[in-house]
Amino acid sequence: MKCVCADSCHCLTSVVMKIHLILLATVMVLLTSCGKDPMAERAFEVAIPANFPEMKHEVKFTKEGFNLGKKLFYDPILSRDNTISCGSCHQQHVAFSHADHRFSHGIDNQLGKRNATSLQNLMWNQDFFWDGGVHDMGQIPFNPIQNPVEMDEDLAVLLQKLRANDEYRRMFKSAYKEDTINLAYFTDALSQFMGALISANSRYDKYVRGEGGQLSETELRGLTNFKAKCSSCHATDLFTDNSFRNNGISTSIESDKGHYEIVLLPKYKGTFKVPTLRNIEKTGPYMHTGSFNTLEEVLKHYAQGVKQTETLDKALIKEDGSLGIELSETEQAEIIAFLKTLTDEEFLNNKSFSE
Amino acid sequence: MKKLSFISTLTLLCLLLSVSSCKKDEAAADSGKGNLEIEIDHLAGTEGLVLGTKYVTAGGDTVSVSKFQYFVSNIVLIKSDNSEYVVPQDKSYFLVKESSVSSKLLTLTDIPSADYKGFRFTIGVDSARSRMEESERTGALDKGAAALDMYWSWNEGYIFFKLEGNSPQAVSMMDTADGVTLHVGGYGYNGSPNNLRTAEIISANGVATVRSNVTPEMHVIVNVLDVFDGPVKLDLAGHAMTMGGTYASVVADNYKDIFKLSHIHND
Repeated sequence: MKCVCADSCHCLTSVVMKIHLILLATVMVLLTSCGKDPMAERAFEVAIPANFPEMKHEVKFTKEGFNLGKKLFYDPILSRDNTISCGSCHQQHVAFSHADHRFSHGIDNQLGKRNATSLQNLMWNQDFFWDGGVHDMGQIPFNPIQNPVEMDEDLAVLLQKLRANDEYRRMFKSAYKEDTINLAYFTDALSQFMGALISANSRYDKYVRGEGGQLSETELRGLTNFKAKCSSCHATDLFTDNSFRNNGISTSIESDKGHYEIVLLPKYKGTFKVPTLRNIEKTGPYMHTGSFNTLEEVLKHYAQGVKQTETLDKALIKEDGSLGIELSETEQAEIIAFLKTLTDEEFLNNKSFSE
Repeated sequence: MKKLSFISTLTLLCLLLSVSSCKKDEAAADSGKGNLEIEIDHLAGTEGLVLGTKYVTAGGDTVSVSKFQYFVSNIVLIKSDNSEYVVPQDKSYFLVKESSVSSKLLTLTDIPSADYKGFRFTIGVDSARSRMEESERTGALDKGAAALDMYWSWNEGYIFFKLEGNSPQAVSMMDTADGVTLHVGGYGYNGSPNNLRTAEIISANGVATVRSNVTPEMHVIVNVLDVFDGPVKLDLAGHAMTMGGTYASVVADNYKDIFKLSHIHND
């Protein structure tokens, strides 16, 4: 469903958001028309399957808060030299990951050390970022903003810039009914925008919810293989169990210690968060290292490329001690066919998320 | 009612015993509230700490300090009868900075009138507050203002304690070759090391008599060189760049004992 008046009458400034959580949790972002009936024009409607696990972080939405969050997300004012926005490295058409970038270039063209993750279904995440260094939705933005190779902005300076901007003063006041710009409101608004980034309308979703989505014979065989061989980590319909694991991508657990840097427990050396596989067709390059450009390379890695290190995940060690997952070339191809059914065009093209 | 009857019983008891100047009596008679000030002085040895000045540590390293700051929170006042008064959470977070004179005077308000012999506090920010919504992180905890340089956004949580400076013995991977960076945080998230430490300061003689018309001052001294000289004599050659990590716990074990009561005055 499309907002017919999106370009002509600025109806994007009046996104109405409501969350319904009854039996079937439904999240709706509603675009009001310029006319009198605010329900008339819906930007999108996302139904979350009943087997979606419990939400970890609840966000309260208002249309003004969402709009402010969206403006902040796409505004390079968040970076030290006003050149890098959140949207610079998190692009909607690739599920808010960074297209064709193994590592993203931040301020002064500096490179990060891990592949930019997608941003979707964040309210169901336990921890955030590859290393799980952030545990609360509201604390997500401060990480890239303060990172010297990403946006490198001082929070006090950022507040000054926002306070000096009439448009922001108006929008903060409208969202929070107070003529104040502070970090609490700033991060709440960004949480509203990022929390609304829900992908649950892929063909697979419509198949499992019985909404008319069809999977081919190959895709169904892929689903069966996936459940048998991948779903112990890529669990639930979020396709992650939120855990931290070493998937044998590196020959060293010292070069990037991952989750260990956060918790300092030796068993976590070289482990990283199991990523969701939603929209995986679009979110390459893959792995925290961005080492693989195609899903074929990824499946081949699990079949025959897993590298032994001290903390290698047990799921990648076969009974006979050899490494990897038993996957024939046919099974790999079927799994890839299934993974492509997780592409959610409605999410990738939803105008209410666009700059 | 219970309190009232307790007070009247106490008063009666004092009358019966004809005690003319009983301190407890006086405190009980003043059922109001008062303020208490905790003034912290930073020393290097016996002299006042001077930023940029070279000192020698117990481990034999030469060090100068450019930044010295830490959180004091969750203060519990200890009365002379060993009962306790817990300062309300919302009024119990302070960020003490060597560079800010006003930050070294902690004013506790609306304290029940009583005789206090000391207090206990957390060095750092407890796990509950470390996970609260941004709107609960105000005042000393506002990372957009006071706590600007006291927060790790990559490893969610406050930096409890920060000592920066220079030492010729420091071997650092960073471009500041002789830089000393001791940053300690970590509230024990999900099995990770908990570097919160509790300090207790008890007066050997004299109490702070908080009354509605008396604001006592407890003077606390902190010898910055004691940070380097605790259970472990800090070795700057190996650990000059401590930003969290395993050595942070060693630093925390050292600094938990650096707070000493100098004296109390009640005028």
